[in-house]
Amino acid sequence: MKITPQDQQAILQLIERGVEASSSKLAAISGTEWQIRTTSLKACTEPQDYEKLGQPGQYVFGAHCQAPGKMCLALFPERSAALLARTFLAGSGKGLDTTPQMQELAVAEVSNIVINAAAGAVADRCGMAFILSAPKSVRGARAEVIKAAFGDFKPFGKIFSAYIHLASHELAADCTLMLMLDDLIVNFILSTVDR
Amino acid sequence: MSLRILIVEDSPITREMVKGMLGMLGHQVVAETEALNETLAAYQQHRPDAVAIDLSLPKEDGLTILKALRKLDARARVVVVSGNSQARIREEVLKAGAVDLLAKPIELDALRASLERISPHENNPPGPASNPPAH
Repeated sequence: MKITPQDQQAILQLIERGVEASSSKLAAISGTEWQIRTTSLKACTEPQDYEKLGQPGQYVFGAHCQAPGKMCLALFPERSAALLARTFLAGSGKGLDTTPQMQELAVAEVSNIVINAAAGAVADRCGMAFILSAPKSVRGARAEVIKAAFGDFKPFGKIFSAYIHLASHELAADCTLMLMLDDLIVNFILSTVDR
Repeated sequence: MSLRILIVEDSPITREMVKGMLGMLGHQVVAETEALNETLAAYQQHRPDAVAIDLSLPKEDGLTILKALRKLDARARVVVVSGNSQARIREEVLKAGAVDLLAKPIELDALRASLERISPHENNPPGPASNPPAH
């Protein structure tokens, strides 16, 4: 399937609206504002296409969730992950400790919330309904984590992937969201959006 | 009024958070599960006043568990707690008999408001639609 620049723009706008919901959730968790810094959309079939994005060797924490035709991944660099885990756990009202294991679990749950906010906003705009899988916690070098997520995804046809970078200036933290959609989902989305 | 609550959640962090909030609200957690069969067994064993269910779970999803619980006991009072608050999923969850769908991150006031809509039941035997679900 080939998409036109207008199609690409329409999908990107839709996803950006979805990511605004994610930034609101991050704001609720961290108590600071988050802004969308960059977005891009491309068709690809290989994870190597992403090795040029961001810093491939950077150590990240996060999680991915999927449903038929879609895979969502949220990644936080080590320092950002630690900051968010701390604020998330502090909001528990129970004084949960911040052991490395707790921190990893907290980041996976934050990722789950952020991913569902973006996916949900896109679903609502397109009249879709789906339940994403339970989040699968990930950690490691960015390029390796993305490659592993690709390995778990079973798309129909090509993969269209949106790559979004969010940042909180006040917290000096950032987050990468990736939404991978297969041909069937992209076709469905394009049938529902105005161009 | 204190409620006896069953939590269906796979994330240990969220379980602890929900337990902490329920404790602050004066409620008691009677069991914790994360899959269909163990949830139905725990429900029959403990006869909780309410069940808090996540939607995204490793085996069966929360909507499937909600429907099975309501089939087991048509009076089962369920609050869905999820990052997923899609409009059509919300409709489906409420149509399946949930009291509410609370969006994560969970807020204490929202949890309190949902649970205030639930009264402790008398631990009677399950209601008419109480046949065990087929699986």
